[in-house]
Amino acid sequence: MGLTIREKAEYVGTFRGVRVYLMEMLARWVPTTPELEVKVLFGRHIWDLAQHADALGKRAFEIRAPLHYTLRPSEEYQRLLEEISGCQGTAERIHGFYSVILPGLEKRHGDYLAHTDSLQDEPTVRILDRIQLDDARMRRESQALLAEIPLRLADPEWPGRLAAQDSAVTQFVVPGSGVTLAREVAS
Amino acid sequence: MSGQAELDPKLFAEAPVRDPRFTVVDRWKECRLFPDGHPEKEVEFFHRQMHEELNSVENAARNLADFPEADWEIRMWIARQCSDEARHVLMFRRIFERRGGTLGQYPVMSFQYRICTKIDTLIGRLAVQNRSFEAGGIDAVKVGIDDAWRRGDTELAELYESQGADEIVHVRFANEWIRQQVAANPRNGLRMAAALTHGSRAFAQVMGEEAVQGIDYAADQSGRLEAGFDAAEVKQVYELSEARRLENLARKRPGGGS
Amino acid sequence: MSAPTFPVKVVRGVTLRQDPAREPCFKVVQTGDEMFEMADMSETSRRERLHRHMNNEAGAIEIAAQCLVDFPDAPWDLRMQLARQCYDEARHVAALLRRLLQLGGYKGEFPIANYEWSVTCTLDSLAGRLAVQNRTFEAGLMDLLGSLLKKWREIGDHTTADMLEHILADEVTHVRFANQWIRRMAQQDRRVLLKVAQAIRFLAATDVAHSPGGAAQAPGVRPAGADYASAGINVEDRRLAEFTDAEIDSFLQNAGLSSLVPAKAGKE
Repeated sequence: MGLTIREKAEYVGTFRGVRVYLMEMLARWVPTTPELEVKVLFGRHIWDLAQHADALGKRAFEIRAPLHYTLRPSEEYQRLLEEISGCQGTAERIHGFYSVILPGLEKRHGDYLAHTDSLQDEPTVRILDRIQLDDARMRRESQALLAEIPLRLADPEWPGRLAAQDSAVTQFVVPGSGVTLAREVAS
Repeated sequence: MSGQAELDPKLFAEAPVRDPRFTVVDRWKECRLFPDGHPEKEVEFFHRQMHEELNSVENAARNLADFPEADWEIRMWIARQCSDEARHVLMFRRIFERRGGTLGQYPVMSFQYRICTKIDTLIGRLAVQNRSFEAGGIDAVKVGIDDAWRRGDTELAELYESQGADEIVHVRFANEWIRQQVAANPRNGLRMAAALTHGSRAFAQVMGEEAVQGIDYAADQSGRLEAGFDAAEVKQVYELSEARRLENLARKRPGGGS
Repeated sequence: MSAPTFPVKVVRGVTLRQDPAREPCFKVVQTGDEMFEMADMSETSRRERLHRHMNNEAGAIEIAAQCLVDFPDAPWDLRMQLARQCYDEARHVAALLRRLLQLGGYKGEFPIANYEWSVTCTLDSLAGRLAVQNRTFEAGLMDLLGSLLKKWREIGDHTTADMLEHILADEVTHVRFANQWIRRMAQQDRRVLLKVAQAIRFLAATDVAHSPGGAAQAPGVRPAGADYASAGINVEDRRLAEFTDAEIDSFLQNAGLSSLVPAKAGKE
């Protein structure tokens, strides 16, 4: 069995909520990160994240949720985001975002793609495909930067622990959180 | 072809081309219509619906080709519609074949294409195709979704949910654009009205009384609101459709009908 | 303005937002007289111009980013424009750094100041920030780039001039969206204009404090400086950026170019 239209909207709304959060996280980091090249990296990727959020927000409207429908992920996942968002070191920020959050999201996109019908839900599939390509490029750009400027993690084991924490998150979307779907508002 | 009198060439354009697998007929009553409960009824419907979706791809494609000067935004929406309708063709083909059908098994009609491409304004075509045919589809699909869930036919319910969501998008963009066009120039309202009159005369010629009498569902009010119809329009359509539904139900009862 | 919720500094009696983070290689100064500006186009001056411009563009990323952080409830379309601005300004920094390195310069070669950040991010309204950063500082940069392009071409450095032309095209877009949004916000709520006026007054007061002997600037005009003083008003690009004709007239008049202001209909 695939996903109902309501479940799809909840996933899309949650994916969008996370992208908006990440856009704001990078925005918060730009003035508080000293390295010029890293400011540039984050500044460029803010726009990528905004475009992802925009495409997902428009897609939500097409699957009968309000325009730019935005949901918070589960508390478990939100805590992980907040831990990374609160990092002060530049190396921690880069590793936390590019080596933990983005690969974790790739896996979650994969879970969604495995459950949705790729024909009926093709517009969402295309958006996620494009996001995956952008995410991969963003990761490559971060790796190129790390090769260019020496940034050392205070605790080299930290990204691995966080990645394990991410993998242990059992629930990403809060089921039934779509209480404001347009259909219900309209009726 | 049908062997009946040709459709009025003043109301119908040339039919789109088809490969030899298809038998194309002009009128509803020339289709293979099975009674309720017949094992082939559903499969025949999927086959016909697949072909209707193909007509929709062709209509949207012609709108892009025939109106190159239209605003870019509306052309983007129409291009998107081409892609959605093409997916619908594949969706209906898939379910039809999974349930034992073969392509070309039943006759099909190209009335949507022949009616719409006879109209020479974009506003007219969108009023007939998106705002009438597809809006009618929203009503029908709502009944299909509820019925499929009730019967536990998850595959079909999901198909209808996806199709219905897409049709709402198509009706909504047409409604919004038509509203802008009429606000910019009231004569566009007249062009739209002329197209609707044309569409309704042509539709009656294809479908006949039999098809209209078979309709036993009312308008999907919430779907139409999402699709950009205003409350008064929805109320009017609902009342008309409800009256028609009750009349048709009464006709179906033993001893009912005229 | 409400009490600030961020770290502050006091410069010449004016309370401003604390500087954004910079690498230790940079010497951050607080006033114009501590900078190392030269009016000529010597090799050192060229590198200093690129270095200063690079830091200002870094400040522009930071300002747009901080607007995304501080105003999460702003309309989504406006947030999209701010996110796009982050991207544009980031590309400008990268291009300027590349050119600086090509000309033998390096990060931290000259002192830098974060005046635009400190003024703009002290403001507590998004309309005020757009009015100061996009509509004043960036519009001023448009004027400046319009005249600087010629200088770079005159010395035969077309690579730098071409780069500045691309930057100018982006700045026009940033000024335009700010103008469009301020207008839209003011149509919805006229009190927004008070916030804009308050922001401009704050900028003018800060300019006076920072420029001994300098005068307050008209709205939409960059503070005085070695380059700015000699820059003309870039009328064509300002029109592209959707300043009204009346506003352009006002800029021209304030820049001492009132003879260029067209006569009103019916008046000769």
